[in-house]
Amino acid sequence: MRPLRAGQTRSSGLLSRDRCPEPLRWCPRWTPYIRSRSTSPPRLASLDYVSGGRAGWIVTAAEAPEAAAAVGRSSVTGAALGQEAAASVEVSRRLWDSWEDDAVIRDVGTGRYIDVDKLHYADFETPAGFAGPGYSVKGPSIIPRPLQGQLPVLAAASLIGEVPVEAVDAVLVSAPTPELLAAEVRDVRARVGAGVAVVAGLDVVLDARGQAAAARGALFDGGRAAFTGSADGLADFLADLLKEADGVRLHPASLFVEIEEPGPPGAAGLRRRGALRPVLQDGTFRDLLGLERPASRYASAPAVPAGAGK
Amino acid sequence: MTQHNRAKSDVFQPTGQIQFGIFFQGVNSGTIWKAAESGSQTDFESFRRIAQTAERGLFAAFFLGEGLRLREHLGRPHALDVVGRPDAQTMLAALASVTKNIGLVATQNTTYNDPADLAHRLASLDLISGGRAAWNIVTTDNAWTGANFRRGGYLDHADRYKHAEAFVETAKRIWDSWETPDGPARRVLHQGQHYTVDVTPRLPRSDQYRPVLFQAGDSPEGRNFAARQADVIFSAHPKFDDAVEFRKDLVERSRAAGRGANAVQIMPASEFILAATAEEAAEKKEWVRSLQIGPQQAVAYLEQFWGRELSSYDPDGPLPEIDPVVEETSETRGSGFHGAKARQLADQWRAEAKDKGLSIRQFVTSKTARIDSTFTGSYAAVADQAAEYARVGAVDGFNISPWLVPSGLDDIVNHLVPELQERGVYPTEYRGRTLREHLGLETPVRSADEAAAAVRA
Repeated sequence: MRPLRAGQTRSSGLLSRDRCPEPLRWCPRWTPYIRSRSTSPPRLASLDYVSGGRAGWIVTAAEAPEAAAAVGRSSVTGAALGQEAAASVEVSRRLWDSWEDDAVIRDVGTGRYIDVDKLHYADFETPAGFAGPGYSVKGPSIIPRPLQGQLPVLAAASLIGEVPVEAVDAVLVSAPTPELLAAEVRDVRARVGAGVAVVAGLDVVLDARGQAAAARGALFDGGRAAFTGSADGLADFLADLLKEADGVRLHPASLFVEIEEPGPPGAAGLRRRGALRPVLQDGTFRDLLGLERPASRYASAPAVPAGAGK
Repeated sequence: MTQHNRAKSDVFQPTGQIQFGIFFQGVNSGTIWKAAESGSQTDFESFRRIAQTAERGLFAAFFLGEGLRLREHLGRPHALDVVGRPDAQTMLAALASVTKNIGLVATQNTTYNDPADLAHRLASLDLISGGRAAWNIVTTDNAWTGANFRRGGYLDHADRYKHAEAFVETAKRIWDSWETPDGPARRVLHQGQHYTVDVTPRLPRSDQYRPVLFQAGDSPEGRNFAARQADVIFSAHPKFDDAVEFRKDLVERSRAAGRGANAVQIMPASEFILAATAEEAAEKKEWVRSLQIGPQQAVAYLEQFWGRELSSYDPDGPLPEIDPVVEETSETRGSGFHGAKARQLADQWRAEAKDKGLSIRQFVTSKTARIDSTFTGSYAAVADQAAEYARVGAVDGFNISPWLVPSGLDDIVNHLVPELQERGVYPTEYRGRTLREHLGLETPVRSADEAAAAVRA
């Protein structure tokens, strides 16, 4: 569904996360049991290609005995979850950088399609003390560097620490009630520092189709701040919230009602208030998050020596 | 109904029809990147353009290959050929939104995937495309590829089909697990040598019941595997006599597997070089070959068998007199090259090139696998040729690798397809909505016994 939408939308970021019935799913919740450690970063890079630079990755880590049983592995638990997540992010980032931006040269004179000096082995190995079975990934990636260079990596604030803050581009913040959300955003920002975007998560139930939001509110099972009310009320609430947060991630009660009925909820109202930036036509997801496009970590590294791949 | 009788029959009955697929290779020496018309190999636009052209030409299927590790040459990534392909299922899912009818075939290996995960991903593609997904089943086993995977090179070469078959049967059980289109789903358990599966599948059947299965292996084991499991073989036998032989062989194997004579279709890999006249087509072929096998490619081709650098040799001169330094070629150029006896081969080749008076470049051009899979000629002549394949039932279609991306199908769709339609051997519209319908394949029927076994096993 993510790639399907990539073919038909132009300006929204497309995020891949676990437990979606999409052909593309990659996150620590699932992958500690997956053998194909190196196929998923290229899959995410491919989503970046098919979407014109709008892919991102929400890293999650949770115990998932059912997912483990499906692929015949024992469930990852406790501290190992964070280590798995951190290792997965590191492998992905190395693979995304393993082709420098200008590696495809198409030099007819020398007959070279790629400049081998601009390809790099990832040579990842799990660190000493890694809780699960250690592993290694050779590289380089099987696909050139993603259009965004590095896909934005997002993770829940609760995962930061286990996954180093330097490894993520944005943290996702939630709170038990809408009223507590702004304070939580402030706390997290103080913890993660200035270089990381802070995105607040909010369930949304709107008055729609002649039905009051409160009457539809039972759709959520709680646990995350839920806004219940009119589209205009939501715009007011978000305008305030966006004074603290760099972005909001809305979880509509119904994809059809909340998204289609009033248009993107409150978006027009927010733009009028100047709380939401104008639509970035053809911008990348990094652009949307206000992130620079990073250079490859290998850009000035020495080339792959002959024989290194044996 | 004839269709039904044919499916059950032990007598092979040609349909008198052929279909086309397109194989967007992504990593290969056949795709020309040096011409002015050569487009991007990674931009979505290239894929969209070629898929929509294929659909305009009523192609049954759009294939993508799979890469697990970059090919290497003398210990470094191979620099001379197109390389760096997007992930097949991600790309096909995006293409599903800009096409309506064409089948979407993802090549996926059984060695470094998990059955429950892959079955789920393929079912997803099948659902979002409205029943147009297929899986081209391949096996791989070497440790060199395994270096990119958590599990490493765990599988013996001899076990690869045994493993693959258990994998495919598990995937089928997962797709069969919903008792009705609305569920409930039954739990699928598998305990095997290489993996265990315990899953309650989350996705319902698609409009074509489950993804169509293609298979591309050519060894006797591979053929038996296909005869038991596959719907279509992506074969390596496009030459007429070979194709007829291959059909006979496969019909035998399919009968032996208890599936009748018509259960498995055949679509060989092929390349078409066409023009209005035979002369123009021949000229075009010269041009195509000169760009596919440039001087550097010719020398590099020999280097992989010699195991040493040969760049001091003139591509327009004779084969190197120096001997190879390796006993066997390694797997790093792909499995097709693995294990050739290098010294023996070098002696043979030098003698052959000398006899025929061929330079390195001419010799290598004559050796590449594409030579046997190329149809060259006027639109009308090639249409006649293809009609003969259809008449005797040598193949069910051709899986075409375009040598140019994204415009490489234009002349086939604009000129060859109408010629074939005039001859009554090519569809004039899509037969249905799903890939299974386009190909005229039977919908899998699950007997009560099979259903029970799927749950128990």
